[in-house]
Amino acid sequence: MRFKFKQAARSLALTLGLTLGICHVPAWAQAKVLKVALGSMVASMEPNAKTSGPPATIVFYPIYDTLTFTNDKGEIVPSVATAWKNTSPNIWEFQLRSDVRFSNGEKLDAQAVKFTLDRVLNPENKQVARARIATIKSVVVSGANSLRIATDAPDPILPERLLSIFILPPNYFQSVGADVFNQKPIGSGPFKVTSFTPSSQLRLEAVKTSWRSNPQQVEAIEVRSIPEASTRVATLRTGESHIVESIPPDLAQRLSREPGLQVVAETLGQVNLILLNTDSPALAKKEVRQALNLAVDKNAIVEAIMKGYAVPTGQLVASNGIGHNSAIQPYPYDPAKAKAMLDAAGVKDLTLPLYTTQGLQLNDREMTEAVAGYLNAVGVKTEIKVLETAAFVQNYHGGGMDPAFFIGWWYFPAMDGDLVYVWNQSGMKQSRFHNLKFDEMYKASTREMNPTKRKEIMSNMARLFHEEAAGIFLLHPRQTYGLRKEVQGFVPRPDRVIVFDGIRLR
Amino acid sequence: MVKPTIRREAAPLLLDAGVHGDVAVRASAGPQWPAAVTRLLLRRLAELVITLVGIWTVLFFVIRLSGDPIALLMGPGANTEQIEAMRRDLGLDQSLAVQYLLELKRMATFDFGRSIRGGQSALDLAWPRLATSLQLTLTAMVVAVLLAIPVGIAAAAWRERRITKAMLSLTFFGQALPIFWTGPLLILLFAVTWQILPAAGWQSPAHYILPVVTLASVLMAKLARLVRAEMLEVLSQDYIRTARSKGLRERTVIFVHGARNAMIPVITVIGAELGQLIGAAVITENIFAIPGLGDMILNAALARDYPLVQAGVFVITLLVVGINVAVDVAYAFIDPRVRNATQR
Repeated sequence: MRFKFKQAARSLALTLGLTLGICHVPAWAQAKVLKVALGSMVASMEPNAKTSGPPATIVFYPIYDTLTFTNDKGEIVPSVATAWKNTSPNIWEFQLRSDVRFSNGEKLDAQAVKFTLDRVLNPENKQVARARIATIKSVVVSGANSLRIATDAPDPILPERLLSIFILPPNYFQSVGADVFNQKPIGSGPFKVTSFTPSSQLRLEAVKTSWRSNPQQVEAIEVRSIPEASTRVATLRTGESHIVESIPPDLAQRLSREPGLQVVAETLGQVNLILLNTDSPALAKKEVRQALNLAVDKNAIVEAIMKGYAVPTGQLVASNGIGHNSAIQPYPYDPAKAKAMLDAAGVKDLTLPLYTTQGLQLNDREMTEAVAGYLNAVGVKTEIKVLETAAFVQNYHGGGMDPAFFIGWWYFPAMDGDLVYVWNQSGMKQSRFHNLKFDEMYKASTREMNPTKRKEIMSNMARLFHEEAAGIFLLHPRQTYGLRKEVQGFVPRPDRVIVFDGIRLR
Repeated sequence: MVKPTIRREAAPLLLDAGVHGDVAVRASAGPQWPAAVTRLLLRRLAELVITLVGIWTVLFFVIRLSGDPIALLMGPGANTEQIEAMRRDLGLDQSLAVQYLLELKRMATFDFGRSIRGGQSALDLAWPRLATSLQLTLTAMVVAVLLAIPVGIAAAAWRERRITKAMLSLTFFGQALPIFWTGPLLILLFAVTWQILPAAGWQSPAHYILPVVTLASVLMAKLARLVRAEMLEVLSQDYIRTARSKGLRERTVIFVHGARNAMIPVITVIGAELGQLIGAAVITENIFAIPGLGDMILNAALARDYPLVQAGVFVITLLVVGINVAVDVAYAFIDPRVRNATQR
């Protein structure tokens, strides 16, 4: 008896065909539901408690309100707070909107803001966001819709700090407790949570009654974490996602040529550089550090590695942030001069260990390898050491990785250079820059309440950091987004926030 | 102690998994085999507890020595004092020994603590994800077995046919290609180019196909080769010749006398492969953005979310060790050598 192969093959083909036929329903591309794919997702829905960084800001802004907000250019604008002013250097007064309600009907007033801030500030609540507003001493309700906040010392950027504190509904929160709130969160934004899988996916539904609601906004949003970049891009091409964040630069170029798709980008409030320890014997001379900067071709790195999705730089803050100095140009690429300067400084047989992460920042290792190549070309030997993220962060905070490492610093959502400069004071373990003049300038900037004068101090700090060449400056990356043609009203922002209420599906 | 006679075709089994040889010896040594099985079960359960505590202990120290969650959690903006304060709050400032003893005590009551990043109970986060991972892994296993057995049998029985050669070569692709390559390739072909299947997620049966095929491809190739080898071995046995000389139909010879005997070691290997398959599922879940246990453990490990990693690995260990115990015990019941040994 022969095995009837033909018959078996036929029935197999039929089964397969039927299965695929049933599956071939493009139902995963439903109308009116905006589908978004990010590289990661928050683990908790309690907005101030556990999370920091970009997935949190992207996910929480549509759900919750903040006192202040920023516009597309990174400038601070009113949100729940309509106006604020300093009545004395240590006192800020905020006026609030009177028409804000949470999606359960509860009123968002000065009392709710005080409840939220007090909760964040109380050490017993173990709130991660506490670090961001630690300058606050007390919060006083001065009227139904007005608030007085006192700080320990003058804090010129308190309104910017409050950008990342999301306001909670006090009655609901107190009646259900943190655990239930984490599962059934309530906010006052134009969208509310209908389902949430921690670290994986989130479904939001439009709230018609929010003060930020508008009739054109989409009915629902599905946000998914798709960590693998090629899969993320594939979902854009199949229509499973409308908006996809963080397109790898080499894919971005290809995608932008595909019909029906679009790639948009915006320079982030972020800087990538090789940080140099100015106390390390080999790098103690300013001229040596400057020579290392001259040896590296930033433009080539931007073109070859970032495929143009970056801006070469010679300072820590890009033009989108406070603390930028528009007079500073990137160090030019001049290997001959670099070599001459190294010779003049008596540098011989210098071997530079270069520490880097792999994948923590876009192209971190690739950029470090490129820098190593340029340094080798002027006679500086390098040793690349790749660290896993947690080890890197621990070493960074512990003062390790001597004398040079790749780092990405960001200053969003506040879009203020303070968030970066703060790490460069001599006394701190995190700082590799040891310069007393810089320390003084930084201290002055934190006390200066006049915005114009403060900007000037900070742009002088940028000048000093540049001239002292405390790092090998590389670039400000541009955040890429892939969009399908149905998406309208999407604006890429320097703080990586996505303003969902402005987005429409055609 | 009576040593059981080992038939020639069973040799690969004993080489593959020494435990089972041990099982047979133990079981045959007992006066009555149900009592032996009970003893075996008790011993295996004790081993299960020891294994769980052992793995948990190794994990506890390795993950703590490899990095710290607090700086990662606090993000930019936190200074050293604030980081230290948070570390104190979470009890991570105590010595490792103290932390270990405290957690061991808690673990005895199945309390794995709360996720550092999410604040929820770690076990509560792990269970729903286990369900997803099991769906993926078990479906892949069933698919692999259903495809591998016919291919393996056909490859042995009809060695010279071109079609069987072609099918066998195709399965070798599965073994040759790593799944982090197979996965994206399938996405590119079926989701992007032909647009017949979705690329990522776990929402509907359509979403299951690509990840399941990706994961099954690894096991299928291995099993198909094993089935083929076992079949060739069995088909050269005397009793097959006897069966043929009795005038039995070739189909009966191959499927009844051949395949059934060849399946015994294959089933053992399937059980042993489950652990590996769960490991491979971690990568598959990452590629296809499936909210499974592997995806959870990977993210938690990167963030050094100790309680979540420990809870996730505990659940997987429990599953794998538990299934092995079940296989061992079931094996003691179904293996004819055990029966024969005890009837003597």
